Amino acid sequence: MKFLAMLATSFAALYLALVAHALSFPTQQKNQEIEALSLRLKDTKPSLNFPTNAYQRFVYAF
Amino acid sequence: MLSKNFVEYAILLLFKDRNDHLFSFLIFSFIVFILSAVLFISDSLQYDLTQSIKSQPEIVVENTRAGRAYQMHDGFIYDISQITGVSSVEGIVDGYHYFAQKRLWFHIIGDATLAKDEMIIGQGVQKAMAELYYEDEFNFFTEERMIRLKINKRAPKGTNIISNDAIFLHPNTARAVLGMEMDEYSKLYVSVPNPNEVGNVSLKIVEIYPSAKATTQEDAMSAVRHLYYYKGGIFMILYVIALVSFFILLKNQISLVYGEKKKEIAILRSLGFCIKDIIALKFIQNTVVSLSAYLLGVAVAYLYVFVFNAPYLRNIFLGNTLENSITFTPVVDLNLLFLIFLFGVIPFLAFVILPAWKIAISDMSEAVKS
Repeated sequence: MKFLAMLATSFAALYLALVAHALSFPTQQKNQEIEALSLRLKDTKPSLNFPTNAYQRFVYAF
Repeated sequence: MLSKNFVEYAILLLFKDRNDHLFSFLIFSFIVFILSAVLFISDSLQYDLTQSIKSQPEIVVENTRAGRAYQMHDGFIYDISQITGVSSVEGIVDGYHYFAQKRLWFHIIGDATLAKDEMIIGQGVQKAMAELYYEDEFNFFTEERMIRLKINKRAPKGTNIISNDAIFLHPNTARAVLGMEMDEYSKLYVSVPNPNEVGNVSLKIVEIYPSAKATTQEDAMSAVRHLYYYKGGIFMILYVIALVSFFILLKNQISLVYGEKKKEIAILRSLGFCIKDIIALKFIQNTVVSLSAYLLGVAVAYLYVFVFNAPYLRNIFLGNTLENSITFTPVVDLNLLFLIFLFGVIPFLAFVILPAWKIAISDMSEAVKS
C-alpha cells in the first residue's frame, strides 16, 4: 500500500507540473501574434520546407 | 472485496519479479509515448493553423495555365467584382523565390504597409540568411538584376508555423523579385459578405474562368484538417498493427514467465488460494504495470512535445531543410487519451490475464512434484 501511495503521489505531482506548464503557456499571446500576422498574410499556408513535391524535385532530382 | 494484505502481497510479488515485468512496462510505455507524441504534435499544428485561417477572405482565387500557377491581371478583378454578392476583390502578389546558395525556397508575400526597400522575414529565413552573413541586408538575384533590400524586422517566434519561410515585401518589390509585371497578381481575395452566397460566387468564378481555382474558407479549413490527420486511414492501420504485435509478444512473454512460475502458483493453490485469487493477484500486478506505463508514456510525450519541442519527430511534420524552431501550443485532446487508454490498457490486461488463468487451472500436483 505504501508503494501504491508513493506511486500515485509521484504521478499526481508529475501531472500537476504538466497542468501548471499548460496553464502558464502564453497561448493567448501566441494566438494574438498569429492573428495579427494572418491579417497581413490572409491566405496562410504552413511553413514547410517545400510547399509541394514539385519544389522538392526542383532542389533534389529524384 | 480484496483485503489490504492481499494487495500488499501482490505488490511484494511484483517487486520480486520486477525483471519479468520490466520488458512489458518499457515497451508499452514506448508505444504510448510514440502514439501520444504524434497526436500531440498534429493536434497542436492543427490548432495553430486553424487560428491563422480565421482571417482568411471568403474566397481565394488562383489561376493555372498548363497545370501550373499563372498570373492574373486587372481584367480578372473587374470580371469577378461584377458578380452579384461580391463586395470587393483584392489582388495579391505571392510566390516562391529560390535561394540557390542554400537550395531553399522562400515564400514572398506582398505587403502594402512596407516601404519599397524594406522587408520582414521569418525566423527560419533569418537563420538561413545569417549563415551567409546577410545580417542587415539581403540581395535578391533575379534574371534581370540584383535587388538589395534592408532586413527591417523579424516575424515573432510564435508565428513560426506560418512565417518561418516567409519574406514580406512591398507588392511592387515582390513583383520585381518574382519577375511579374506591374498589373499582375498571383491571387485574388474575394470578399462575400453573405456566407450563404459564398458557394454560388465561387461556382460563378470557375464558370467565368475555367482554369481558375476558387478556394473557400471552408475548403481551407478542411485542407488543414486533412494535412495533419493522423487519427485515421493508413496511420490507424499502423497503430493497430503496432499494438496487436505488442500484445501478441506480451502474451508469449507472460506465458513463458508464468510457465516458469508454475511451482509458485501451485504452492499458493496448496495454501488455499483459489483460481479467482490467483487471477486477482496477477490482475493487480499487471494493472499497476500497465497504468504506470500508460501514465508515464503520456507524461513523457507531453514533456517531449511541449517542453522540448519534439526534436527529430518535428522534422517529420515540418521538414529539416529550413530550420523551424517552432513552439508547440499545448493542446491535449482528453478524448484521444481516453481512446489510447481503452485500446491500450484494457487489451494489455486481457492478454495478461489469459495466461494467468491457463496456469491457474492446470494440474498443480505435477508442478509441486517437479
